[in-house]
Amino acid sequence: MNHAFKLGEAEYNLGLSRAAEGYRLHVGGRSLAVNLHRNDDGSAVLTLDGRSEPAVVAVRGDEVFVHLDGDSYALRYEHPLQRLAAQAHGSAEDQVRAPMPGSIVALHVEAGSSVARGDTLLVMESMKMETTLTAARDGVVESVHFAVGQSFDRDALLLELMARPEQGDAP
Amino acid sequence: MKRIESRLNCASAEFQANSAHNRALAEAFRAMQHRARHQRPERDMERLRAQNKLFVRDRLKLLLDPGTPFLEFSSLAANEAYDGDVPGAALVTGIGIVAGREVVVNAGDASVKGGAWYPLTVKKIVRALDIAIENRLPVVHLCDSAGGFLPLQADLFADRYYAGRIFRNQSVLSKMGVQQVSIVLGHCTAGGAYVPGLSDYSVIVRGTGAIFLAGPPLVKAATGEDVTVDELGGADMHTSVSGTADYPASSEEEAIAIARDIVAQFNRREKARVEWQAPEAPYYDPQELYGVLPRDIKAQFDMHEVIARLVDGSRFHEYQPNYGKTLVCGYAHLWGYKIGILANNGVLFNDSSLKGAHFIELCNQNRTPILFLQNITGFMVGREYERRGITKDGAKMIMAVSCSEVPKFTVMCHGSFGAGNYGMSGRAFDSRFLFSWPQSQISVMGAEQAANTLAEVKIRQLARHGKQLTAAEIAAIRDPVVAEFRRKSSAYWSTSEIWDDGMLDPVDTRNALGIAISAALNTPIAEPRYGVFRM
Repeated sequence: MNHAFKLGEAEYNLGLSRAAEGYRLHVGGRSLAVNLHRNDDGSAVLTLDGRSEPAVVAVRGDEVFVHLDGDSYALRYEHPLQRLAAQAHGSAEDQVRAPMPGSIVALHVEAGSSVARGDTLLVMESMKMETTLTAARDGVVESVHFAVGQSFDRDALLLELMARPEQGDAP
Repeated sequence: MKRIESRLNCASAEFQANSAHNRALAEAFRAMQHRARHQRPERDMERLRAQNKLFVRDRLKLLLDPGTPFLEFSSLAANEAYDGDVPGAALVTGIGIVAGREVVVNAGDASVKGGAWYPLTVKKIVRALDIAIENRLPVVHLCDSAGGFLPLQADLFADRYYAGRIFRNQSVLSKMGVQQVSIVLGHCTAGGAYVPGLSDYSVIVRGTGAIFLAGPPLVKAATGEDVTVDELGGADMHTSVSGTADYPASSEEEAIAIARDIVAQFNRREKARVEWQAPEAPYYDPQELYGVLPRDIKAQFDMHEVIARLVDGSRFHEYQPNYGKTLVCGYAHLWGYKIGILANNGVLFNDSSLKGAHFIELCNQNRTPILFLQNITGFMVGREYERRGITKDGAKMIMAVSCSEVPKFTVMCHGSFGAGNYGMSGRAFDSRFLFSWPQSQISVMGAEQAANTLAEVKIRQLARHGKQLTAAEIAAIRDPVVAEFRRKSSAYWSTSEIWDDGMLDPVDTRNALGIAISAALNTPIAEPRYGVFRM
């Protein structure tokens, strides 16, 4: 599985493997010798497919800043799990189920409400403890199955979300 | 360690003729392997696409670290069986690198008969798991199988090494602390359900993955219950209700990414320590192997020439160079690993057998893995040799081979006939890995000898009744025997029957052995111990 980097809006899929000397870069079905030699002053020499260029590389979290040949680039590394989970936007998460038996204390939305990821949907009470259930993603509330004060069992379907129509990511 | 000095004349007509012959064989093998790996009827590929499934080779590309080697086992398994309809026995197994760790991959190929388990499919899975057990390699299962192939169920279900062995091996792996992860990419029904069930971790794809003991139609027939695939054994049910699977995934790609992240959590153990030095390419070009191997199975050639084209720097420390010269023994390095080599330069005599047994003991004493290069017509026969105890000397060699604790590797380079197959660590002697070259042959005796023996028996039987056979009648007995022997002694037959771990183009042997040795060192090497050597 390759690593994904974003440069601007474009996504690049790259692989890196060890070689007898340095590394090999796998990109678009090609395999190139690559090496980054760091100098004492913090600058570096990037050698790619036999061509060497001075480069400055700095890393902050998942961001990589590269200064190469008079241009600056800001790349963003995307962990495959994050990238693929974002692509999928789990349909199972659209069904908000009761994590334990209890009753509804407060409802913050109604059918048709537009919600953003992290918005509070409802507050429930169980075993003398209040639990807040939030939206797993941006969307619209499709239906609410219980009213304030009503009680339910574990795994009961409390509320359903659907994609915003303009998002068009429903299959 | 000094370099082997090749005595080969690469310009000779003989070398050129061998080279052309063996290159053609290697190309034919590669073409056949390509077909078995990639060529499928369009309707089968279309069905996969319609089911939103990836082809097994694309799944492997996603699973394995980019730019790392994959040592595929038995790529031509089942190619001579089932009318050739089940390429690779409907699955891909091998050793690959996942998240920097050596693992065994067991991947069902749903483009062949829906990934149904034929008898040889089961044999191939069991062998892959035996490899995992012997070499303590974690396993990644890519589950996508229609279940056992019912018309042949009697040949795959109940016996000791049939399907039950898969689950027994999975349990043994777990007991040994060797981890397994299953990725459920299709339906795992009945026995197949236990593959994820017995894995330490399992990932399941929403929509296409399912696990159940019986699918909806069987449930309907058994109890009358109407139930959908998703309700019965889908990703959300198993990951949130039953706990049979651990991680839900929305796509195959995500499932494989999760599995890679799981493998990345496996602790890397320290390997067995053996002598190692920086690797060096062979001084003599491995391509010249094509010119070394003769065109005729009965023609002799010098194994030093083969060793020179396999080992680091073509350097070889030969042990007892003047004693028992029909068995070449000595030390070399291969991809840096120190190994002991036993290679045949003729029939095994008393002295060569004793030398072999002694050298195997030496390798065990100094913890050196052993490579057997077979080109053997057997142990010497005849009154003189029996009087000198050829049987008991051969028995000593077999004893040493059987009880050897260091990992053994065997390559069928040319002929492998009679008990010589045993003395040189044939399949029954638990070499960690055994590979065959395309022109190699294995049988209890040569085709001609077998046909003559059978004809001789028949002639004597009839002679007792006062009958005599005409030349045509003798030919009628002989010819079918010769044809059958030829077919079943070919390397293609052995590899189809999984008597080896795969056929190799000779020039790939060095790399394959490098991966095999590296994998084998995951298991600690025990103290040597033997039975009674008949003196």
